[in-house]
Amino acid sequence: MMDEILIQALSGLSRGMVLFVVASGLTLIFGTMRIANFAHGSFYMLAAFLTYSVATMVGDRTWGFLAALCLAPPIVAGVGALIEWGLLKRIATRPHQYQLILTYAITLIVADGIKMLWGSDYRTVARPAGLDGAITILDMPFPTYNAMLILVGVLIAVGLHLLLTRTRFGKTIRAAVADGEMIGALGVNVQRLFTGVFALGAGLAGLGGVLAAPVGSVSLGIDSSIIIESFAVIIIGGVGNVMGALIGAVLIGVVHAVGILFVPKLAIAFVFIALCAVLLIRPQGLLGRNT
Amino acid sequence: MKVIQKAYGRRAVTRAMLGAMALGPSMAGAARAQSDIKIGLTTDLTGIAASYTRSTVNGVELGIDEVNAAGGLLGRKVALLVRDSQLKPDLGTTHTRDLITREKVDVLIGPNSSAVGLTVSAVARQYQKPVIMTTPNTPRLPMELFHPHFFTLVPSGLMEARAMAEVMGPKGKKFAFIGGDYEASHQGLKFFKERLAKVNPGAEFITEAWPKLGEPDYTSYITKLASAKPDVLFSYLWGADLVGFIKQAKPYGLFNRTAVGTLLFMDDLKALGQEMPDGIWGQMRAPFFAMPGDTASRFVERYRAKYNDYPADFAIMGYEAVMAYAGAIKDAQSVESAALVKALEAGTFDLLRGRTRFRQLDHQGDVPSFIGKTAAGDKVPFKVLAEVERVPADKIWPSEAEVLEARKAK
Amino acid sequence: MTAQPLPPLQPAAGSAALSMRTKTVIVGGLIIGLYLLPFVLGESYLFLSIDFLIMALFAVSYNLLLGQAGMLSFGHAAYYGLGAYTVAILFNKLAVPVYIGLLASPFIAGAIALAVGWFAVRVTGMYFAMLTLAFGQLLHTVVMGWYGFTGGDDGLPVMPPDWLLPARNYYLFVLTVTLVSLAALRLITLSAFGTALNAIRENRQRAIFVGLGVRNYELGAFVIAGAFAGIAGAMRAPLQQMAFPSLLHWSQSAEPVLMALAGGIYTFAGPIVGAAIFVFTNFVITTYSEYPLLVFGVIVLLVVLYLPGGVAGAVIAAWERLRRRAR
Repeated sequence: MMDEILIQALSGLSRGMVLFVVASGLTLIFGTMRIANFAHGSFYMLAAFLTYSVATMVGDRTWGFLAALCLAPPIVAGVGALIEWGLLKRIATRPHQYQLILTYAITLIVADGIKMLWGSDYRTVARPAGLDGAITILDMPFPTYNAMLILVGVLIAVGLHLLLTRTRFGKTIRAAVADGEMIGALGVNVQRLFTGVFALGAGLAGLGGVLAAPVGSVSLGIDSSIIIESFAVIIIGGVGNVMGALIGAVLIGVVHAVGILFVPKLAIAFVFIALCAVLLIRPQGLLGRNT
Repeated sequence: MKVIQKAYGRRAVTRAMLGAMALGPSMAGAARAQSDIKIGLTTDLTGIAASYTRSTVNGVELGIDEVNAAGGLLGRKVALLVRDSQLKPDLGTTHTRDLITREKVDVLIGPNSSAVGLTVSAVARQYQKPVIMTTPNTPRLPMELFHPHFFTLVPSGLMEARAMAEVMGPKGKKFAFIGGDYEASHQGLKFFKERLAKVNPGAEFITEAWPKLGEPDYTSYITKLASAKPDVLFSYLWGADLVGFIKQAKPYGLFNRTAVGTLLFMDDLKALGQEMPDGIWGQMRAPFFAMPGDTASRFVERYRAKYNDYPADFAIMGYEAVMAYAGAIKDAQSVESAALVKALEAGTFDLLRGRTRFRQLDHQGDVPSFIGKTAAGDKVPFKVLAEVERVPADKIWPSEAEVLEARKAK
Repeated sequence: MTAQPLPPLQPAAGSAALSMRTKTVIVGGLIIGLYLLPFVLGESYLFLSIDFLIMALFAVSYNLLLGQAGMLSFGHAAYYGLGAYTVAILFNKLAVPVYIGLLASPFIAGAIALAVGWFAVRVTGMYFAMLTLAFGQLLHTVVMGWYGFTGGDDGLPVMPPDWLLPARNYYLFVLTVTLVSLAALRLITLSAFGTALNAIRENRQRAIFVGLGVRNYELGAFVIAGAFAGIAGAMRAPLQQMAFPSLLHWSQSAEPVLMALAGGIYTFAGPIVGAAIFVFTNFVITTYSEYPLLVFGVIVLLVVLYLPGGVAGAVIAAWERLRRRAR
């Protein structure tokens, strides 16, 4: 039984890692700009479809995936920067609801835009050679690709941590999360910071989309399910906190995976049960500061 | 705009929009020739089912083109009016009502999702317009929510689950289940278990997995299923979910050890391509590669010529709905509802899946369920089903007593 | 970077523009016109008008939160959907007719809003938006998953009595319920309670400072808004002859925000105008466009970018300009 729980926890961990990559971008955007970015799921979906196209164009499963890994996140980050610079900036001083609805409108436009460009069929992306098999852990097969996801997730977490603590850009972001009003007074170019953060966040969503593409299917509608879970993750972790997002994502992944062993019928509600439990104990999120 | 232009032409669309904008009782349709026989199709062109719906519309369009090329019906042309219900039952009602009361359609073809199907059927009941369902297959439609203007060409969820139990039942002792956590899936498992108890009384279910619809990552469900080591896995996953599941379950060797039986659509075969493992038992509603006779193969060619794609199950059933209406309208020599219902009830229709009648009791078309094993296809670029078994409708549909019982319970 | 509440449109701007008497005449005329509508309109448009009335109540109930109290809820559809399910469940389990079920709906929806609001009002701004969104999705999940009770994703059929089935009768029924509800909401916005909500929106810190029990007021607004959304939902179920889970889905929660913003959130009538635009646009787009989401999204973008005060705001601003010029 212990083995089973361990293997479940491991698969939950790999599930949590994709969620973390996507949610980390969302939490940075929210923390810095105070925008609940609904379009975040659209960035994820867009990257998944780009991965499909790049992989198909290249032809080879390994090189195709690597090419997508290099191309899709920057493209999506560029789209994000354009949206921030062309649209969000124009309404930056307006009340929150305008930004919220604007990002919601973008989800609609992207959803139909993807349908226009790629059609409505669902697609698959092959896993790179060497990552399509399974390794044996505790006498159970465990997909190599998922093991890779766990590694990549840890690497990205470390990378983001370094970015936020060691670079000027990162330190500015952290300052903005801590106190948004102070930032302008310190002589930081807030406009440029916001565009940069939004692009970074979109790029992370894109990275998540590339990593997720070979896992399941690439289809219309994957934006909607990831965005709600990502929101849950950042509420649980504490808004603006990347490590909080990591803990939140892993928590959701592992609770979900172990939970279905014991109460399978509640599987669809696990996210929200975890959310409510955290809110009851710490309304500001696990690593969030009191507001 | 493509769909609508086909029926109207651009100018008529503009006129209709202006008419609608005036918000007056002026009928946009008044400008159009009154002599067309109109088929109304409210369906879910937007949303996760878009790919299926596209196929349905294609099949219906092709059917109408052919009817018109052969001179139409009763000397009149047939026109198609398509509306997008976006998987939203409220939009489904709004558009179906509008099609009936403003556009004056003569007959309806049903949508994609069961939820929208229920509301479309309710509107058809209210206005006494015939509706043929080609995709939604909740057994509630022909059973407790039945009304005389409802017809269906889809094997109901009850029939499909029973057919699956007939074929998969004898394949082992230990059964496992995976299906999306929604009503049809829970019902499907219930019906499967009931029939399994007759087919193989010693069999038992050792584990069940209920991922949410649209689940991206099945890993934790698969580890759970794999460690239970079942002989047979009954899957009620379909579409993008099934594709994700199959891809993720492959590294576990689940398909080597366990006999897997699942719902399957052509879209899934196409999406997985050569990644589809061999030897999975797939249940399809209308696989184009297993249709009997020349009519079907000629249809496949025409479909490919027109849409540069293979006809999905939904395209075939949509096409068949047009053929059934065409046959019934010829028999009745009328498009008037009562006469048409009578003709649909009495007629035998030569459809792609074979000769089909609607049962008097519940207007369920006596269509079979197709179950076969995945294998390489020699003519198509993706896997197909081999050793296809047609489980006949009369073996799996509910008995008269069952239907009446369900209606009484309501 | 805390966003400031939008100052240009004072809530009183609309009322100052017209005398009480003119307003009474206009509103009275509109009401009479609405009652005469079924004798002029075709059946299809009548159904569309019912749709509009329901959405108008939904939007106005929401605007009690956004426009009046400055609370950006993104889970309002939950209470709307619960209203629909109240009617459907009472009808299916206890054979209660829909018009009686309608009376129960504000209490059920309001009670659940009380439970959610108790948590949600502890936070403000975007955080409040996300919390209400999360709770809304939780309720959606419960309705989806509890198929024995709710019929799951296929929904729960509702059969209105025969006399309510014809478009004209149901229209008159919905019109009456909507008008009564709107009148009640209008009274609430004008009451001392409404004024307090305004004060909270204008300056939450100050409201706390002067000793207003801000959280209790916010909770009150949340419950009242939820209850009236419940009534709107309760009228929806018989119209579709079904209650279904997408009524509670988060994308449905975007609709009242859209309607309120499109119409204008600082006037009582704004969301009603927004509802008319929304229902009609949605119908036209899903009828005539192959890419309805794209078209709709672009329209929303344009409204957000170029009509900050909504249509009602733009009309009032134009009216003010005219008056100034006339003087």
